[in-house]
Amino acid sequence: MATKPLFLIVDDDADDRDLLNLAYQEGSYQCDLVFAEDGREALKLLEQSPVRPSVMLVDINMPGMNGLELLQKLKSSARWKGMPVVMLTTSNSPRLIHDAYSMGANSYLVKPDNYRTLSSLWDALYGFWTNTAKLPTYPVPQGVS
Amino acid sequence: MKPKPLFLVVEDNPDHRFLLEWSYQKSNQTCNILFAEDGVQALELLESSPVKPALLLLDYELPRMNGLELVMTLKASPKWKHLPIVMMSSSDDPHIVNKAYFNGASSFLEKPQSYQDFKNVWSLVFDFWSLTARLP
Repeated sequence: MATKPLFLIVDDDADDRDLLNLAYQEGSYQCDLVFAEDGREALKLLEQSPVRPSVMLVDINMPGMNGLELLQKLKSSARWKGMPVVMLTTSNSPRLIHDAYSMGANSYLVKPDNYRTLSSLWDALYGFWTNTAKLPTYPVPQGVS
Repeated sequence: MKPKPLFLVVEDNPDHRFLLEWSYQKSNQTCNILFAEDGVQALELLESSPVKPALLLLDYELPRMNGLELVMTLKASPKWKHLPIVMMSSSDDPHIVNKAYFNGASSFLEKPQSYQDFKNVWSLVFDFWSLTARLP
């Protein structure tokens, strides 16, 4: 049986995590979610868990290690650089969007300001990344460079 | 009104270009599209086009400069490394998919096999990238 895609969501805001989870629970998505509260916890989870996320959703403004620092660490790691990292943040700053893509973000989404739009965002996110895009597989085969 | 983002589609196969154009016409047309026939022409267009593309839809198999070579060239360039690149291929070989992501592709699509799928997939791709995602 094929395993379900796993989304690792990194967000320090408990309300945002709850809302993302609620919107996910209300949809009929064939994927699993795991949450981390900041960049350090996300890295720890990645190192410790035998299950590899299909896609990471990463907030930018977080204490300790922020989303861009986490992105930089992942994209400079031979082990993780191929994993899609989608930034999910409140900022719509063109400079930040430009910088995130330059640092290797695979996509950039702005957190909606109401619950209904959050459900639509989940639909679009799930529809594109799990139903349409081909995702990388693990472990990365020999000779990939 | 916010201008529609421009997507540069790099595809050497005239039938696939036709199907993409047809799918685009049937879609919500949330973006504008421009075609290049290979990597070399894409680079020329990137430099010469007065409106810079916000996204590249790039075929993997291309003559002269293939899709992967173009990804590597753009991702090594301070001027273009921010440009999201969605690769597409007729193959879903995991080795090719991994290679694309590993070298900086933002996403990877397997080319649809039927007219209906072509229309559905490209509508979804155009809408996700122009309406849901924020582009540089």
